Amino acid sequence: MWKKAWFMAQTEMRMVFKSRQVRMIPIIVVIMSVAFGGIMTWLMLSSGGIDAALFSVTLGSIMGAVVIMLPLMLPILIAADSIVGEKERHTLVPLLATPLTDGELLLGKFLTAMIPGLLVAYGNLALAVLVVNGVVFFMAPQFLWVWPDLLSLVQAIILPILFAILAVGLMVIISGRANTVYEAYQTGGILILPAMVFAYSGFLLGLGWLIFVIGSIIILFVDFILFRIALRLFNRDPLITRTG
Amino acid sequence: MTTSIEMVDLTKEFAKIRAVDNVSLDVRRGEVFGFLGPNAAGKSTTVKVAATLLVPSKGSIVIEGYDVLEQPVEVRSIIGLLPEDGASTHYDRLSAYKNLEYFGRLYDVPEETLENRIDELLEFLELSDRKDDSPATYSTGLKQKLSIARSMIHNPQVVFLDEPTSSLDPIMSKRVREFIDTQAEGGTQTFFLCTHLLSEVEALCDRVGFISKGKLVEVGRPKELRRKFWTLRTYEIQLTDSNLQKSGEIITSTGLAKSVKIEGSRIVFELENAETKNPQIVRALVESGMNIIELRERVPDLDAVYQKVIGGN
Ligand SMILES: Nc1ncnc2c1ncn2[C@@H]1O[C@H](COP(=O)(O)OP(=O)(O)O)[C@@H](O)[C@H]1O
Ligand SMILES: [Mg+2]
Repeated sequence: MWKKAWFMAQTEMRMVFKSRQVRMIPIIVVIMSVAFGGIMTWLMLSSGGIDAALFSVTLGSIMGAVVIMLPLMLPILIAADSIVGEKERHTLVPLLATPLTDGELLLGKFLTAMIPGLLVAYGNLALAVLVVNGVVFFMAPQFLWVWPDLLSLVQAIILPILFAILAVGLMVIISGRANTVYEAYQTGGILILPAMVFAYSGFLLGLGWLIFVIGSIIILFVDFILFRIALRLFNRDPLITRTG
Repeated sequence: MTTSIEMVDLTKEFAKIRAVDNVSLDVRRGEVFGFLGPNAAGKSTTVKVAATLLVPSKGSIVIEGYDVLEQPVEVRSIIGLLPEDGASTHYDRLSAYKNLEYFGRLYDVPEETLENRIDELLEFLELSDRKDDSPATYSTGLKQKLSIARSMIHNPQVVFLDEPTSSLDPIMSKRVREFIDTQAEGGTQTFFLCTHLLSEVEALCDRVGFISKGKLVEVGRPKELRRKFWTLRTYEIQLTDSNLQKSGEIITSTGLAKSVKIEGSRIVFELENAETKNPQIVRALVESGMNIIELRERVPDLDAVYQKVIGGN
């Protein structure tokens, strides 16, 4: 199952990155989070007399949200392009006619949307950490290292995976009703981002490891349910009946 | 004769429409079977059920021993599909070659033979010199040929071709038909060809099934069907001189034609059993000193034939 899905995802990723929109997203994500992180750090430090602990908590939670949320634009857009786009461009039927199983097809689509998203998320995380701590190093060397602490780091590694599954699962479900990539992407953005911010605000409260672990298990459970629903919808008869 | 495709009471309903209505049909291994019917008859829906893309509402299809509901993966791996509007189904972001390579691997064509297979198909369909271009730059005819190549990439036991020549110009249609004909010569591959063109069926098919409004109306050899449903045939004759009136009288006097008319510079007549009567008419004309330039059949439009088929059932 993984072998076929992986082969499919490799080809699809290559195709998806031919879209200029898709190629723009990593650049936008990196510029936005690096600029935002640098400016935020600079502003907070230049206001003067800031308490080290408060500084670190505030900056950490803001940057935590930025590095987890912003890169999600990519899996959402790729999912829209590779699922609804395939309907829009009439290439779905030949693909469905191949011996791939429903599970392989869906897994292939998930991998296509998630892998570039995660690579961008982690690359972006590394850059943002460098920039934020770079600014701190030059402006207030006494703080040494402000972000991330171990919990934020683990969150910034684990949560993009859990949220990306959530986002792509929702996109598959949306894509059944959307007829153009643009429509799907819009709906996806409107539906998914607030849901994520809401989910993340729980972690933002800084309630520590326990809440993070429990929260992650809940999201993982939601992911699993969404995948099951997606598997039922991303399936030959309903797809073809709707496409006509 | 071994059965290749067996449909039993096949029915497919959409929300309001019964697109395929109780179709039972046997297609033999190695034959080219024509599935002939007007627009919206249910041809594409039948093919989609056979290709496991749609689930039948009732009934079954078994292809080379595999049931579409029970063994869909096996079915998909032994059939090839040229879908309706096949020309518009390529990945424009890949070259033509890469399109074929992608599908070849999805169909599990062994890597060591895939390259040869692609080259062979591209060569045969005269696409080799354009193989590195995106299908987006192709004409409709070339795109359709690429779809045909894709449907045959894994050398399938059964090939479903849904309107392979619609949207093609006559020359391209002819090439595509020649390709299908050559492929079918081997006699091991089964072809299921949907079309609304009677001429296509007559050129390519061993047997034909008429479908209308979801119902299979008649199955037989093209010649038999033609004889059965299309007995009164229309011919026109063109002569060197303008002695139309006299020629018309000669034809009338043979008593063989059902009707004789003069239309412009031609004589138009209708008759049954043309195979035996036309030679007699020609002889009569020649013996009276008339010089025939051309005798040809006026092929009635398909609607007329369908009307007869449906009316006569
Ligand atoms: N996905 C679909 N949803 C609803 N009705 C459909 C769908 N596909 C086909 N139909 C209807 O089923 C009938 C048969 O269509 P089709 O099989 O495409 O005919 P053909 O290929 O012979 O032109 C038509 O009335 C068509 O409108
Ligand atoms: Mg059709």
